Parts: sequence; C-alpha cells; structure tokens
Amino acid sequence: MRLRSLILKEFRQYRRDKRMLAMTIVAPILQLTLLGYAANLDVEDLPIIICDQDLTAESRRLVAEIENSGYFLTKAQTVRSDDLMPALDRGDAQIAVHIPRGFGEDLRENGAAVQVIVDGTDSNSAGIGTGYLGGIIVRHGARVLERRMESVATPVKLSTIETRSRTSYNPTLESVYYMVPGVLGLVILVITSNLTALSIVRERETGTLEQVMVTPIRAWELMVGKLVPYALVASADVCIVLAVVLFWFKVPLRGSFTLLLFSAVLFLLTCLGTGLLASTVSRTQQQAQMTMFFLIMPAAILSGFMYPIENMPEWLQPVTLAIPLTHFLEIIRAIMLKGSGVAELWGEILALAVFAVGLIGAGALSFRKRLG
Amino acid sequence: MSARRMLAIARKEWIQIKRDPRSLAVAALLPVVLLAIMGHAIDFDLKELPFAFCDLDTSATSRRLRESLAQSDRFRLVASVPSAARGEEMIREGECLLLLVAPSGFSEDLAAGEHIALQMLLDGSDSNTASVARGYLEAALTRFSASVRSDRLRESGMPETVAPISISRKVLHNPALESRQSIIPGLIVIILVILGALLTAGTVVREKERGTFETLAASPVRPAEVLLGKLLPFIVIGMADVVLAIGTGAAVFHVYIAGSVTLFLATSLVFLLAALAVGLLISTIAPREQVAMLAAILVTLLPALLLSGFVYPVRNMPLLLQGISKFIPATHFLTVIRGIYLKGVGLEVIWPQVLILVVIASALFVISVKRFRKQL
Repeated sequence: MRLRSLILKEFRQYRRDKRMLAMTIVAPILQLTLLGYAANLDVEDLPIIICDQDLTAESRRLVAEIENSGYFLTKAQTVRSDDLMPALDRGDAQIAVHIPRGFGEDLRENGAAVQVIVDGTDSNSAGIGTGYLGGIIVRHGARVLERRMESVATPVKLSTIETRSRTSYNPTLESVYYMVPGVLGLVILVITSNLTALSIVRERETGTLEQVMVTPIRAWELMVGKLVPYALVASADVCIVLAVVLFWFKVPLRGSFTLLLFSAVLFLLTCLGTGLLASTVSRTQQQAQMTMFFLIMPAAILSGFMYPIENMPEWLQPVTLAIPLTHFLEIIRAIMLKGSGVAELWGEILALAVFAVGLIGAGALSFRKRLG
Repeated sequence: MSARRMLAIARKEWIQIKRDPRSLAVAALLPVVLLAIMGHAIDFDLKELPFAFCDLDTSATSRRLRESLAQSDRFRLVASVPSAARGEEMIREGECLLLLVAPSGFSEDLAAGEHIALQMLLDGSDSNTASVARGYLEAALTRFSASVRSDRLRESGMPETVAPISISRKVLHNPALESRQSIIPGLIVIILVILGALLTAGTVVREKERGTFETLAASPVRPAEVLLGKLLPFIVIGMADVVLAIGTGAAVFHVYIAGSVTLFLATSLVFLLAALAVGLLISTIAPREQVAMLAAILVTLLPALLLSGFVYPVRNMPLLLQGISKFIPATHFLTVIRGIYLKGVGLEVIWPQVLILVVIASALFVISVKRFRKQL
C-alpha cells in the first residue's frame, strides 16, 4: 500500500515534467536514427585529385577506370603536379594520383610508374581507399599485359583469381544491423541508471529525503518505490526502440523474442543497481551525473558497442568482461542477427544474472547504510 | 560591464567548485582516463583476423595459398577444416570470421590459366569488420595471383615485366596509417564537448532550483557579468584539461602536435568557449538540473560523437545529416585540430573554420545573455 503510493508519487512527478517526458522518448529515437544513418565506415566517394601529365589514350583509360569505380569522387583534374599538395593540405582531396609524362609509352615498352599520395589523417579511409586504388591500377596493368600476350607468337594463358563471397547474417553488410541492436543496450543503460541516480540524489539535495525518512516508510520500500517507476520508463523505451529497430530499420529478429525480453530485463536490473550505487556515493546531482558519466563512457566504448573487442589490446579484453553491457550486447546481437538460443548464450545470460543480483544487492546495502 | 563584479562572481563560483572536490577531481581526471581507455580501445587497424581454410584440392598450390594468408599479420589461421559445412559451423559459433574454400582442381585450373572463382564465407554481423576483412582478403588474393602469374611467365621464358604498372605510395602525416593518430586529436574534441556541457549545463538551473536565483536577480550584477563570471573558472579547468590531454597523448600514445602549440591552444580556447556557451544556453532554457544534464548529452555529446566526422566520415551520411553536421561546432574544430595536430598547417589553411567557431561561440553567448536577462 505504502509502496504503491510511493510509486504513484514518483510517476505523478515525472508526468508533470513535460520536457523530461519528451526527452526520455525523443532521446532513444534520436540516438537510434543518428546511429542508423550516420554510422557508416564504408569508403565511397573518397575525394580525389588526379594529375595526368601524360594525356595519352592509355592514361585517360586509367583515369576513367578510377573515376568509374564508384569509390572515388574526382574533385579536380590538373596537369600541374604542384597543385596536388595544397589540395591535400586544405583537405579538398584525400588522395592524389600522379600519372607522369611518358606513362603510355612506358606501359608499351617496359614498366610504367604511377604515384599515389594519400592524406593519412583519417587512417581508416586512407588505408581502404589506397587499397581500392591499388587494386584498380594493378588490374589495369594486368589487362595491358593480357593484350600484349595476344600479340606474342606463343601466348601464355594467364589465370585470374576472384572471390565469390557470401556473407552470413548480414549479406549486404549494413552497418545499421550491427549498430542498432547495440543502441537498445545503451538506451537502457543511460535512461535507467541516470534517472535512478539523479532522482534519488535530487531528493537528498532538496532535503525531501529527510522528510520521507521520518515517515513510517521503510528503506526497502523507498528504494523499490524509486526503482520501479524508472524500470517501467526504461521498459517503455525498450519497446519503442525495438519497434523502430524492427519496423523502421527492418533489422531481422531471427531468435526468440521472449529470450530477448528476458535478457533485457536482466540487463535493466544491472543498470538499476548501478544507478542506486552511484546515488549513494553522490551528494549533488552534478556529482551523480559526473559519476554516471565516468561509468557510462568507458562502458559504451569497452563493451564493443562501436568498436570490436577483438581489436583491443590483450590486457584490455578481460576488463570488458566486467561490464554488464558487454554481455548484453553479445546476447542481443546473437539473438537478432544469428538467431542463437539459450544453448549458445547461457554463459552470457548467467553472467548478466550474477551482475544483476550483485549490483542490486550492493546498491541496496549501501542505500540502507546511507539512510541509517 | 564591470570586470570587478564579473571577477566577484567568478570567485564565488570557484569557491563553490572547490567545496566539491570530487567533481573537480572528476573534471580533472576525465580527460586522462577517457584518453587512456579510448585511445587503447578504439583501433580500426584489424590484425589477426581469424580464418578457417577448407582445402579440397590438397595440392602444393593450395597449401601455398593457405600459408601466404596465415603468414601475413592480417590473418590468423584458426583451423583447416575438411568441409565447407564445418567452416560455416565455426563461423556460427564465433570461432572464426571468415572461411576460404580452395575447390578441387584449383591447382590444375591455375596451371591451365583458367578463370578461378574462390568461395569465401564471411561473418557479417559486424559489418565494418567484415567489409574491411573482405578488402584485406581480396588484396591478399591479388598478390597471390600476381605471384602465380609471374612464375608462369618466368617458366615460359617471357620477359620479366610482371607488374606493368608499379605504384609508389606515399602516406602523408601518418605514415603507418595507425588509427590512433586520427583518434587521439579527435578525442580531445570529445573531451572538451563533455566538459563544456557537463560543467556549465547545471550552473544557471541549479541557482533557479535552489532558489538563489532571486538573490542574484536582486543584486546589481548584469547578465553578461554573471554568465562570464560563471564561465571563467570552467575556462581555466577546461584549458588545464587540454594541456593534460596533450600530455597524455604524447606520453602514452606518442602522438605529438606537428604544428604550432600556441595556435592549438588558442583555437582550443575558442572551441571551449563555444562548448561552454552551448551548456550555458541549455542551462538558461532547462527547468530542472536533471533535464539540463540529459539535454546536454543529447544536443552536444551525441552529435559530436556521431556527426562531426570523429569516427564516421561526414561524406557517407545522408544529405540532411551532412547539413546538420555543418552547424555543430565539433565538426569545424575537428578539421582545425587534425590540421594542426597531424598536418602541421597554420592559420592560413584553417582560418575559415576558426572564423566559424568564433561566430558560433559569440552568437551562443549573446543568445544566452538575452535569455538570461528575460528571466531576470
């Protein structure tokens, strides 16, 4: 009974704050859309500047092949090699190709040379871009060689190797599929733990916590009364995000929906525990916010949300296992994309359950101590 | 505008900050910790991609293909599997990322000069890793087939013009193409955004929430003096953080400023002002501290992280998002900071971005003062 009125009070307070309400709904959707549309590491339309000093049919053919590949966007064509460096410095182009005079002739005679200069400040695009460019130039050379073979008296047949690749789980390699399930985890983490921590600390800051303490309400009732409303808000967010993920981004759900919800609830509990713990060590809302930030930022980065864990240094990889989000991401991606079930995921689910019990327990203990 | 009144406000703010040593410690440590964690964790240079090899040919040539992959540091051979089905199973269990199948008759076809299609299976659940892995594998196969060709040509006594076009590749600013070099300067932008928003978003709301706002309103202090006074201590903290971040970048990650340090500090100051001004504006709008904090994360951190080009290239985004990214201070500062840090360019190249930052910072501050005055 007392518990119910506490929960109702919390909800009433929450509803009265229109902006807060809007934010808890807008935030996850905004996050999702931004990630869904902006998070794209593919290399396409890389700005390139081409300096063709040869101006023969041969050089033009190579230029056309580079331009038609779809990976590059020609920002400028020039005949002066002095134009290349300033264009790279200003950031007008990221790659410069220099085809020197005599290229066509050299190609017929013995060997020709092409210079590629790349701006390495964006290492990812630079690496992949030069890879593509190298491939185009090498293939162009191979074709020249083949044509030359045809004119030889005893032609050697040269084989070509290509790959017929097939991609499982995500055939078109949409980054949305990878990022978007992750957003679900991050949204739960940010909304639940932040709101729990801030709302408890706010009562302490404004002095209303003392008032509640002199009432017959018990510590556990107060705590549950604080946790339940935000757990419900987060659950609503989970539903919104899931709906957007499934129906707007059309990410397939290959595994069990029930298992997904079950692990989401487990994860939600770990977040509540974290928020509770953070609230007991903070006196002001700013402190609570900073503490949460200190926890959330590393969690977001180390959990494999954006960057694959396998890529992290060996000593850092075990650390990621201490973060509940890591396990939840593993579970949700496996359920959605691979259709995995309990048989494959029981270890991760168990880990989440242990975290949930541990964090809530530690949070509750320290909350009671603070009150007493 | 009185400097004395402004400094008085600044002193009051400073005393308040000092009284909360933990927040101060967090503000001071945040850059070092974030830089240390993120600098290590964010690495796009894929190494040792686990692969399985299914050899249906069992010839010297297919073994040579397997070895050429296994010996490159890009790939790590996890298992030689008897069938493609077993390899597929390994991908599903997450034991390897890709599977390459050498079909039976591979070496004969290669010797006969036939066109060969190799089957490759890829785990696409992490799309970024997968597309990079595919790129690496194709490059490796191009090299393999070039070496096979050159052998064939040599055997048949042809002239040794194996690669008719040689490419000389030159990488500027980051010769080893380490992602660390691009990430560290970008992280400084993110850290400044976090600090700016977190530190100032609460300042004005808190006064309103605690009821000290009226006291402030009754005092002869002018709006601009209050706001500047409130910013001043945070500017000091923010700049201290910039210096800490540069130090960490150099000491831990060996990333050094190629250009002028003075120019770097000056542009950081301009950006810090813009970041603090955003927080200030939020603070004058938000009804409660809790709302201000969440809003700060939403309108500053998220765009800076996702839309500024810090990790994801702006040119890949839909046109609408590209347009929005132009209004984000972090986008412009990122260009500035990478220019100074890595390219070592000076004001003659980056002045447009610096100008935009100055305009954004002053516009935000003026709007904040206007809103603040209205509330007074």
